[in-house]
Amino acid sequence: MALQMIFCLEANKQSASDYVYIRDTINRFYKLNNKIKIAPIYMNGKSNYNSTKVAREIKRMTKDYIMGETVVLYCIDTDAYESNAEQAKELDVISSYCHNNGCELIWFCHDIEEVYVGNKVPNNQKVKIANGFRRSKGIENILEDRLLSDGKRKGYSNILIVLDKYLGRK
Amino acid sequence: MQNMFYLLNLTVSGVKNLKKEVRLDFYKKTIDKNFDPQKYRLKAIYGENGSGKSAIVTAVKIFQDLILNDNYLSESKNQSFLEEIINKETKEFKFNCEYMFHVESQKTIYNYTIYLGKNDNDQYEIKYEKLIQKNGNYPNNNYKTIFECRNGEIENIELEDADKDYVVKKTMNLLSSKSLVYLLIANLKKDAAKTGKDDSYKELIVNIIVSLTFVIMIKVYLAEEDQHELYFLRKRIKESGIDKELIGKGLLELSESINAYSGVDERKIEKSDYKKYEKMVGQLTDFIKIFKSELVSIEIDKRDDGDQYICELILNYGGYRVNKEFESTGIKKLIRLYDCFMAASTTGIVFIDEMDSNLNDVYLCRLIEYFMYYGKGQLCFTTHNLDPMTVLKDNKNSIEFLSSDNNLVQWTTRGNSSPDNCYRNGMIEDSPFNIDATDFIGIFGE
Repeated sequence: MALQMIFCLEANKQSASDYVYIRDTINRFYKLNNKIKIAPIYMNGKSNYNSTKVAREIKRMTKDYIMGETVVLYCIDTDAYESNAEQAKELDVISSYCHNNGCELIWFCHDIEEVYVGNKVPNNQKVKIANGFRRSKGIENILEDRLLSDGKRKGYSNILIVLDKYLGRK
Repeated sequence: MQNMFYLLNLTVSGVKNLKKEVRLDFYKKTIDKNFDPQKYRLKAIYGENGSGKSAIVTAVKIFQDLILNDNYLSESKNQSFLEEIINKETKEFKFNCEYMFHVESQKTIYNYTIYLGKNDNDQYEIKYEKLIQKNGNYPNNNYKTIFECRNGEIENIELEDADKDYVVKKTMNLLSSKSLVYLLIANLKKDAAKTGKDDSYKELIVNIIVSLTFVIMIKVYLAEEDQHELYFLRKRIKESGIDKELIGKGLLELSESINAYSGVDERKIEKSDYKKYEKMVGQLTDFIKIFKSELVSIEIDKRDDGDQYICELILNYGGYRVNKEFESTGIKKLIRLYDCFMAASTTGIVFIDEMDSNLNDVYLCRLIEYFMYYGKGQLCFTTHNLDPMTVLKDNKNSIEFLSSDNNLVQWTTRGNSSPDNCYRNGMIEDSPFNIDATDFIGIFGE
């Protein structure tokens, strides 16, 4: 059965460095074939997770994909959920939204750069750092355990736990 | 000229990365008395880079060469080509096609198969060849074998003993390197196909001439195309003393007329064909003027060379003249394609690889519209340009998508969705286009 995986990303298209790490993760760990379609939706900010624009785009892509099932995966930075109540609440709300709407939540603690590069990166450096990560094949040096976490910890993510449900490992 | 041939389908495998069989259908499954190919004559094949679109067109060219070129498998350059072009894993080229020959209400359907494989000397040879035929007026008719060859020997041929002995003797030790279709024409018994003579041989030869003419009707455009030498085969048919009435005057005329359409871009022109060539260049001028209104004429610079003229085309723009070789890539492409377009507009069966390369989108769509509404022949082309889909979607079976794992998916209407949008967005089965702009991050740039 064919499957469409829609990755909803926090970034906008001009600074889509998040997607570099996600695609490198998929390419390192999973076998892809022509029955799997992977597509991003750039939300232009985490708070737009339930915006009309994003919802409309998901609906359109799901409707157009008549060859099989569609799964929607929100890729969200946890940010300082332990110390910032507002950010913790936002994460909870998105988590509930995913649960209630049959979507998956992929989280990165505290953000995607912390998981893949090891530290926070200023916004204006994100594409440059992703460029270096890709060029140096940084994904090969990431410990698998860091991407297989079922609990939130600094520098960890649940991405492989979620993707394992849908994709076959290499 | 009546359109006597129609290619119904073809199946290929073992070329380049095409490991699995790929079948193209150019008409419905069933042929009946209401046969009407008008909405099926055009086919565009789309696919990612490296999906095997060109391989399909190349397979048609190999099939044609195997039948029309007597030394095809003996020439080392062709063996080297096959070594590179036949799938490195399967090492087996398979080609099958079904075509219809129709004169007035009578329809005959032929099914031809040829396989190539390696011999003990690591050379490609014909391993299998078969031609069968059925009456196409009734869908449930069964096929009857005309001939079947395996591993260089005739296994089955519909002939009386004396004629069978003659054919076996004439084809002995040759069937691995030449097609039986070719060998039967090359070794035609003089006057044997006259009305009133041996019926089974006569019937065989008629079927072979029909099949050979079908192969000659096919025109293939590849980036690097060799010209075929058809003169010998045509001469043999003429010399065989075949009654025109027996196979139909129209078929012989059709076979002869193909020469006139076989190459405005050719350099060597038989003196006997020069008048036709001049006329063709005149039509070519009108064609090129559509794209370059400042063109005044195309002149032929000819040099005498025995029975032939060596010709060069010079494009005259009034104030200056340009040798065709120094024209823009686009105009040179249009000149080369002219023969294919001419064939597709009349009775030909044309395959063009990368029809869109060097052609403006708007020109391309207008040309396709012309063939859709006014053409009489068949045109099958590969392209990356999505614009023609907006025209072709109104046809039937005219848009095919070839995936990287050799699955061919035909476009079928989906409500208001357009084929180009669906394809572009990865919404066609087996063509997900999992490529993103971010994939180039780290590849380019600092």
